[in-house]
Amino acid sequence: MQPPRIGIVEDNEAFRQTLAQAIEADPGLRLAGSADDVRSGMSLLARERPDVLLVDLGLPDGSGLALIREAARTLPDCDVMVITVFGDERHVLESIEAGATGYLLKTGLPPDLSAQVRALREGGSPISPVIARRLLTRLAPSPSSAPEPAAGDPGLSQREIDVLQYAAKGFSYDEIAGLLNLTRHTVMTYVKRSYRKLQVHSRTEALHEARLLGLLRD
Amino acid sequence: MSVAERWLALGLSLLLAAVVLATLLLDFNSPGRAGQPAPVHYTQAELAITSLGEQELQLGRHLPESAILALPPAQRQLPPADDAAWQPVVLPDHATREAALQSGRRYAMEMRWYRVQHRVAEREPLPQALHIARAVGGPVLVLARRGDAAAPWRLLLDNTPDWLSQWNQPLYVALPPELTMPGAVVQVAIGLPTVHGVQYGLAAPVIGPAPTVTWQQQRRQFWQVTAMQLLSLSGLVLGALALALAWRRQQPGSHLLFAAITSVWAVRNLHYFVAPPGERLAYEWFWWATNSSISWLTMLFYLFVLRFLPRRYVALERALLGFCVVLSLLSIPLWPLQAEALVMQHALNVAVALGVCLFLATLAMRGAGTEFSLLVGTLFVGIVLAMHDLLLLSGRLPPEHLYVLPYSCLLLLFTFQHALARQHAAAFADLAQANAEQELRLAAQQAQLEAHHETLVGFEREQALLRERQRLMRDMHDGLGSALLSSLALVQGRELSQPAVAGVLRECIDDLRLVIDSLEPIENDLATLLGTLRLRLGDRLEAAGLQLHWAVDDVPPLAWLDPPSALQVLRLAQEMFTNVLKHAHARHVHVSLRRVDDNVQVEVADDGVGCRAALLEVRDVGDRSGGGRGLRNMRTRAASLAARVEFDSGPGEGTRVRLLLPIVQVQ
Repeated sequence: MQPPRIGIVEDNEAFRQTLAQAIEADPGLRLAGSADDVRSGMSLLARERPDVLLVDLGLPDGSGLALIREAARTLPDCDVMVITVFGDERHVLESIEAGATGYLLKTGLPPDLSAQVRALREGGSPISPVIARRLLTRLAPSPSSAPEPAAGDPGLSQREIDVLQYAAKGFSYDEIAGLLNLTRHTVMTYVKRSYRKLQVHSRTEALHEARLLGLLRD
Repeated sequence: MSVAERWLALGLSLLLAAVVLATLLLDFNSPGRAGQPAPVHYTQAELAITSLGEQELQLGRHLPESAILALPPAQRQLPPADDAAWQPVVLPDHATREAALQSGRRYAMEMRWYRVQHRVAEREPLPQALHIARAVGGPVLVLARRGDAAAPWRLLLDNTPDWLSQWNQPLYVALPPELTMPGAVVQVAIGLPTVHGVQYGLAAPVIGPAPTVTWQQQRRQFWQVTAMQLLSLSGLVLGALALALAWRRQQPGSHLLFAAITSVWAVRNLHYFVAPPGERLAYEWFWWATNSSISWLTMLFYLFVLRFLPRRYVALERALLGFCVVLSLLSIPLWPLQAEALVMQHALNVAVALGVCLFLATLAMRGAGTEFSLLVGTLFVGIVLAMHDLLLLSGRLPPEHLYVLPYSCLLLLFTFQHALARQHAAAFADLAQANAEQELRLAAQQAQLEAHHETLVGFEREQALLRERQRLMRDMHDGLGSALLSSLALVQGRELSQPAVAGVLRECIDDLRLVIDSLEPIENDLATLLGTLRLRLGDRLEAAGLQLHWAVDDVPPLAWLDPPSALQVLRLAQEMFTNVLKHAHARHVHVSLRRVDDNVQVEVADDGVGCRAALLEVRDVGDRSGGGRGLRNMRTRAASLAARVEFDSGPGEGTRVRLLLPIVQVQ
């Protein structure tokens, strides 16, 4: 299997270089290219078609969310990881809605970058308790208060709900795997799948709202 | 007045109007007019006056023309046979009274004979009849004979038995068929016994085919008698309606007055269609009631009309009431009063009526409202009609005239009804307006309340923002700020080694993370909050060779767990982990979260060196490296959350630190 080709869009030069060096030093990863703003990031996406995109949200000429959306649209096989200082809910959830399936804490770099990218390539996503809780709130609202999901809006499966509920209480992937009799990898794929569902959900939500506002016709 | 009642009133009024209208239509479309030969209306006749001698009169105090209770009997005469005694006369013939009468005195009586020659048309095989619209003065005699002078008179009518009601009763006499063969000439004589100088009146007689004459008689009967009955009845029904309404109204004044008016009106009109009783005392009282009622009626009218003014004229109302009482008492038939008293009574009525009406008219002119003006106008119509009736009563008008005052009552009733309805509608409109104003006021108050609320909310929001700012400032100052300052001191003191600086910076970042994590949307879930901390510290625990055992139960959400409290909890929990990392030398650390009674308990238990003395007391003494202050801080923090911290440790037994957080914070 070819090592995944990684594109970086990060405006902090020091950090960008740290990342690039870490990737180049890792035999399991390849650097596809790096950019420092949205515009060059777009051309990077078009030119290099990376397998993994590491993207910062706060770029000098706009939000990294645009790059995440572009990647989700044009490169369906590309895994997007958003680079975040603290992994706070707002940034991560926005990114997931835009199409990201992973996030990278700036402080967590670079020792386990390789492991994280590999896990992501294998279909697994990282999660935090707060993100897990928000996913549950958004995708599996309590039956009493939930409106009927719109058509084409995938709800969470019971397994996914189980995984997210444990994750929300701070259990690690290994612990969740043990509690649910699953492999760690399976647990991570459940998380990634629920990220995808949130992406679809927010898109249908947007469509639904647009319809309500009369912006779109059925 | 409810909708149903209004419709009922309208229906009754319409019914009344329909009756009148139907009668009028009948009047003009009767078969009597269409095909029958017309009767002859005799406006020319011959008159002969014969003396009846002097008679002592028994007089009542009533209508002038009926003042003569009864003429003495045996006054029967035949019309004079001498043609010289007859002179031409124009009918109707009427005269007013010249002198007052006194009961018990002797007066010259005379018989007024009216004579007409009636020729029955050829080919008119119908029975003939005579109709006299009105005859006043004395009980009428009607005689007839064949047209030639030698034929004997036959008495056709002696109205003495019906004398008391003759004043308002049209007369009808069927002529004997043997006298009225087609082509025959019949002589009819009408005798009217009168007191010399007292008013009399004879309407022009109508003679012709019985069917048409009958019809004329009935028509006259209707307008003189039946219509009055109908009007009285309708008035009573309207009055009953008003009474029913008065029963349900808070201010029944106008309705009660209306009901009273209709009742008095019925009494007043009684004599138009009820024959007065023949017994003298009853007769007196009957007429007393009738004559007094007119004062009461007008007085009630005025009271009613005055109700439509914005202010009350109490003095006027009392004066009117007093006037009626005095007049009624004065005319009681218990003390001797002469017929003049009646004239006086009516004259007083008219005078008072004129005075009051002028007063009301000036008020109306000054703009007292449409309803009021309408009512006053109606009163004036009533006065005109009353004067007409007085003239007719006193013989100054031809007896063909009808008494029309009762008809003015109809007009009055309609107007009153209308005014009441309008008053009611106005009251409803006022009510609606009051309601609308009330609603506006309520809306204004609501808006004000909402504005207050907005202000309060805004104030609270500002307060919250201020608190948050203060908290952040405090945190920055105590945490990040002091850490950065100490690292600066390290660097400046050149005591720094790279790991030392990295450690200080990491502490700074850790603290910043705590603050950020405390702001995350954990939805009051303590487990999520602890999970967040675990995520932050996991690497470090792992690096220290500690194995973390995570045992988190479902616990109830903590309503009080807002960002400031969350930060306190995070700091407490971090302190617990830091203690383990720094002092315990442990290999395993068990973290559990579960409910204990009314608390949620966070327990961090290690298998390290333990020892209360070593771990706790020494640190309490004020180890600047953070232990003692940390412990004090923990207690302080716990207290600020209404929570408590428990330590459980012994040498070699490891340490258990329990944080007990109340599920419901009682401040």
